This record gives sequence, structure tokens and C-alpha cells, in this order.
Amino acid sequence: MKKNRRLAGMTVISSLLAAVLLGGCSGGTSVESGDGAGDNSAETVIVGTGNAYEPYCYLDENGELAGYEYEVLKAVDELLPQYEFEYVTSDFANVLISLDAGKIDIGAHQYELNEERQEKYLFSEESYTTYITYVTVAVKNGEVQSLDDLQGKKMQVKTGSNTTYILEKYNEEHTDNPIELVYVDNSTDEEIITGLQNGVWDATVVTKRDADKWNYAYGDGADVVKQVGAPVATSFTYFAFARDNTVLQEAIDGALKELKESGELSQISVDVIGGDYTEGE
Amino acid sequence: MTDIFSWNRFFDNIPKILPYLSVTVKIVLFATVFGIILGIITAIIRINKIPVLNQIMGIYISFMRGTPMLVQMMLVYYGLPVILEGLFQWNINRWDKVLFVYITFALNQGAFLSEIFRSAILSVPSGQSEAGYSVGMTRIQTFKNIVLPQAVRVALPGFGTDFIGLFQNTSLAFLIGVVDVMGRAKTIGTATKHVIEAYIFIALLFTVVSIVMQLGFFSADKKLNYKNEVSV
Repeated sequence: MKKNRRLAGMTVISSLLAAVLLGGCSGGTSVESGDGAGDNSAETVIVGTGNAYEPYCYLDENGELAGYEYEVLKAVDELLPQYEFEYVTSDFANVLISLDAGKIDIGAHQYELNEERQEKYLFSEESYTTYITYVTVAVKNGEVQSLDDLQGKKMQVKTGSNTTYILEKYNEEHTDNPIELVYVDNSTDEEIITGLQNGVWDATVVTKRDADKWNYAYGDGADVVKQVGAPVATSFTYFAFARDNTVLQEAIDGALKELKESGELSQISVDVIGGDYTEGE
Repeated sequence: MTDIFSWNRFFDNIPKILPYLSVTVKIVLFATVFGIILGIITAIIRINKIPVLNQIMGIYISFMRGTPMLVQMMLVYYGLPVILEGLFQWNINRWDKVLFVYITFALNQGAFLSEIFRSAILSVPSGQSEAGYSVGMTRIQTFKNIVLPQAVRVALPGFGTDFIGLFQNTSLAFLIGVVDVMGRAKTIGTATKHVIEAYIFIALLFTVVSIVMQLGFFSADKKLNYKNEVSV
């Protein structure tokens, strides 16, 4: 009797898990958007973005969504009368999972391209920000001068990020003495800075503008972090869509192109991020 | 590095965080009301050992009590839409996120409360029911007039502990993006680059609410105490 119950329990749990996993594969096909071009009324498009990456996507003083992703998409939406954008926020790791599950139509969270991502999602052809990342350490850290110096040391990374993907690949090639990746999700900037200074982690990887932002916010005039070595990645960021949603992707590419040509995208970048990071740095 | 703690920021945060207590309270209320209903039904099924349903409820309870709440929330948020779409062609993917949180917490509470209710009802000696039947009361009358009043008294402390635990657990809701007090603290941290003041305020807030609730349950417990009735 007892054994039976346990067996049944395991069946239920494993079928639930299977359902979730299957959802990950089939979710893309259940997205209905992108087919409603003939409709008179504007079609609602759900944009999924983050809530903890200032100044790209965060909640402002009043708890309202703000940031570069939002401003760019707002400008895109104005150019596309056939769509009406709605925004939902979650933490970074849940944005792409939500895209898998068909909960959102567009993922916007400074996404760089990599092989793994491109297999699963469709990305805009047009980029909208540069993304050049460096190894970033506490100012007092004199040991680390490059990525290779971090072998055997602790590095703070975020689940599902492109940096994590690159470093996991790096570790596959350096199995003898890999970098110890510490997966920390949902950490605020202040927690990362404190962790770097206390030696909880030896390094993290961010863009120059993120490091500048930290030095400005926490440095009190001095620097708290510094960036070392060659770029870990030199790339651009793109919006993510479900694999089959080419209609929406093409519409957004068109709008992005228009915004670039009119200089409006650069203007948004200057206004929100504090510099033009749309084409190069 | 700038000051890690500042009283100014602490007091600035209070009006920003406090309104989000309503999100937390709504989750607690929703989970408690539906949890009680679900808990009573489950307890009745389990006590009367209704075949098939009894086994299903046994699995449900051990799943809800034996897996992390975060896993349950992810399964409801991502898994439930897949199941409903497969079975009934319902697309609930675009529902408001907070509904998935309500469902998770109600299901979780139902399981925990059903065990509290079941043990409370079973704690009333069978002689009490027999006494009821012997004076000609029906089963329902006996349960309502004799067993239930005694069972409530037994269930109350357990229910109180569970309720306070539920209140704290709601902070998980932010992990799927529902902004409650915990979420608001994090987002303030992102916007202002300072999070410690918000965390400290939340710690105080949760402590105060817990103490108030504990006092409430304590006085309710006292009111229901045997001695009062005997002395009347």
C-alpha cells in the first residue's frame, strides 16, 4: 500500500515535470501573434522585460517600468500602428523561459547572440545597443589582469546570460583548472559590489558603462571596481522572439532601422544611458 | 565606498514600500480562504477514507508538503498552462501573473491545513461522538455540536503558526515578477543603488505583522479555552 502510494506520487511528479519540459519545446507554436495583419484593431503584443537592470529595465521611484528597453520599444510601438505593446516584468532568468512558454511575444533584456540562443529563439536582425564586456574586479585586486588569471578563482555569473555561456565554454577548454562559476541570480548591484570588495567573488563580467555606473554610484568620487584585460565578448544586443514569429520580427526590424536612420535611437541612448551606445563605443 | 546605511533613505523608502503590503495581504487572504475550503474537503475525504479520492489526496498532500514552494510555483506558472491547453484547449498563459501565485498558495495551504484539520478532528475521542449518537443526534448534528467545537480549539494553534508562515512565504511571488513588498525592496535597490535600508524596513514590517498576528491568535486561543466554559 505504502509502496504503491509512493510509486503513484512519483508518477504524478514526473508527468508534471515532463509536461513542463514538453512545454519548453512546444510553447513556441502556441503563440498566436503575428498572424493578425488583416485585423483592423491593433494586435496586443506582450513584451517581457526585466525589473532589475538599471538603466535598461527597472522599476522607477513610483514602481513603474522605466529604462532604455522600454523607451526603445515605446518608440518602436509608435511606428507600428498594427501592434499595441503591453509590458510584463520578471527577473532576468524568467524572461526567456516566459518566451518558451508562450507567455510573452518579445524578450527584451540586452540579449547578445550565441549559438545556443539562436537555436531556440528568433532574434531581430537589427541590433539596438553594443555590448562589450570585460572582467571586472575590485580596485584593490592586483592579482587579476586577464580572464586566464581567474582560473581556480571565483567568478559571479547569472544563470542564462551570454557571459555565463562564454565562460562555460571557456571552462570546457580548461578542465584542468577551470574558473569557479558562482551562479547568483537576483542580486542587486549593491550586493555584487559588496561581494567583490569582501572577496566573496574575485570577479564578475560587465560592460564598461555598467562599471562606470557602479563607480559613480558607490565610489563617492573614487573607483570601487576596475576592468582588466581584453574584452570577454564584443557584441550587440537584439530583441528575442519565438522561433516562428517572423512577422513580428520583421516589423520590429523595420521600425528599428527607421529609428536608427532618423537618429532617434541614438538620442534615446544618450538620454537614458548617458552616451550613444547604438553603433560603437 | 559611500555609506551603506542612511536613515534618510530608510524613511524615504517607507511610503514607497508600504502600499505593496496590499499585494501580500491579498495573496494571504486568497490562499487562506481557498486553502480552508480545500483543506476541509480534503480532511473529510481522508477521515472517511473515500476510495480513490483518498489516495489522490494523499499524493496531493505529500507533494505539496514535500517539495519546495518555489518548485510548486514554477510548476503552476509554467506547467499548468501546458496541462490546461492540452486537456481543454484553454490558453491561460496570458493571465495576470498574480493569479498563478494565488493558485499556488491556495493549493499549498489546502494541503497543510487539511492535515491540521484532520489531526484536530481525529484528536476528539470517539467516545464523544458515541455520546452524541446515544442521545439520538444524527452524524451531522454530532459533528457540528460536539466534535467541531473541540476540534477548532485543537486546530487553532497549528493554524496560527501556518498562517504566519504563509505571510512570510509570499515573498517568493517576486521570483515570477509579481511585485510585493519584497519585490518593491529589490526594485528600489536597483533604481537607487541602495537596498539595505529597504531590507531592514521589510524585516521590521514582517516582524511587526507577525507579532500582531501572534497576539491575535493568542487571544483567540485564550477565548476558546476550556476553563472559560467550565466556569460558566
